[in-house]
Amino acid sequence: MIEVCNLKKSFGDRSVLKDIGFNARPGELIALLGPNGAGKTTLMRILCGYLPLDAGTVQFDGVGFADGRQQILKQIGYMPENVPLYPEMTVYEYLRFVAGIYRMKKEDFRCALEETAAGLEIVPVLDQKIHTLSKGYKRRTGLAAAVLHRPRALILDEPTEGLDPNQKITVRHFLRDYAAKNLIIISTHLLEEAEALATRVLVLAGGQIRCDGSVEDLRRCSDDGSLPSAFYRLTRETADEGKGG
Amino acid sequence: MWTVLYKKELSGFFYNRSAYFVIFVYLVLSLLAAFFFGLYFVVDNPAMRSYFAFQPQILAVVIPAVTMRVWSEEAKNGTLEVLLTFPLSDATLVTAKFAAALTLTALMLCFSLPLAFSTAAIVPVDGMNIASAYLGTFLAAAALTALGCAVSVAVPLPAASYLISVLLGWALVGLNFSPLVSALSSYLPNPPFYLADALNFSSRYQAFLNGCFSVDSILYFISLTGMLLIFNGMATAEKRRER
Repeated sequence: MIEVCNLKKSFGDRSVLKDIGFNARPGELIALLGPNGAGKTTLMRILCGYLPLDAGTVQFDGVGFADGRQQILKQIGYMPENVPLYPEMTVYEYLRFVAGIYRMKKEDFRCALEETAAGLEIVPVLDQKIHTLSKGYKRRTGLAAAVLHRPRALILDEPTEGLDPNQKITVRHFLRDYAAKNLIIISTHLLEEAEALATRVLVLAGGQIRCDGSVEDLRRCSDDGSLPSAFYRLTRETADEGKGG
Repeated sequence: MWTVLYKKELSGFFYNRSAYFVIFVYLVLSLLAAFFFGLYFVVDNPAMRSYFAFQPQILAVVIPAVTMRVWSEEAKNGTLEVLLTFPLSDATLVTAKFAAALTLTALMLCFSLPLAFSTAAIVPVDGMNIASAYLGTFLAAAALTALGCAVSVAVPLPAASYLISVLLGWALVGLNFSPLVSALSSYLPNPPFYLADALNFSSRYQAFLNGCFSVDSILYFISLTGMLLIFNGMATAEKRRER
């Protein structure tokens, strides 16, 4: 479904992504792991068409952004890290606005709203203004907006950041169900998040993919079989290489 | 999609109360100009000339207060990131935002209607001439709104966007093209004598105030607005590329 090939991105002289390549298909829940500044957000912004790439290709079912931008964007749901929302709207108004942008029919919107609001437990705040919401509700509203039009690919930057443990369980449950038929790519620096959710892990460090496999594959990268050690080893190696180079 | 975005933009103006403030300032400036500089109660006003004579200058100051936030507010709140990842074309984004700002401007003009009706109740007025002046003011407002939107997309800071829009607006309203045409005469044997007048915002607007506007005056404002919207679209596309 998504094919990324030789992707490069720089900001000025700083090379953020160097030769990134991977394929992703529906049914996968991919966790993009990496230390702060590894390029996770940049990669996600490129995948959802917000940032242009410097070199390489990103294709959805064989079509690139240059050839079918709007067609691709209809199939993607994206939630940025800071969950920007319109504070003047109620949650319902915002979701209706998003549904309007995606030209959802009234009946489809009603069904999707019922299902999403119940799944993410935002029903009690549907009529509440967004600026009055807590951080957890805001994040779940952003997630509901990203998933409302039932995209085939869901790209979420830190989807459980700032949620309390109960809310995390709710969101994880929702995402696991959604990933059964669709592709989800999340970025996180929390190893427990990847362990709890991901069917596949991409470790990004120094602008390159250091590990692409299951959580078990990642575990095998360490001597003691623990995820923190594996993460430390993979990401420190890159940092040391960076210092050396 | 377009209507959804348009409604969102329009309601945004009223949420942050900038709309109320802008309408209030517009009315105060318009009435002060009409009563003190236009001598509204002293001269005969069958076409409310005292009121409409200063409208381009006033709109050039007021409209940037509406348009300065059109793009910069989205950038400030981070919602631009979401907006640009929706399946919306640049044309949809630009025209929906422009139409919302123009609607607010048109609403602002409607608040001057009580003055027109009360004038008509006291003295005989030329209704067609007043309608012509309203049409001219609306078309001038459309061009200034398009200018403000174009500046807003190019200049991310609201305050800077406001100041630049006011300066460019005043330049557009007051620019005299006669020196340009005179300069052309040294290169061209017979520069079109009507060029200076044809490009002149004020003389085009004056035609509406006199009630003797022609189709080319309407086309002038429509094409000026269109060109500015095209620039707006190009600036939006450039913004996508330069990230």
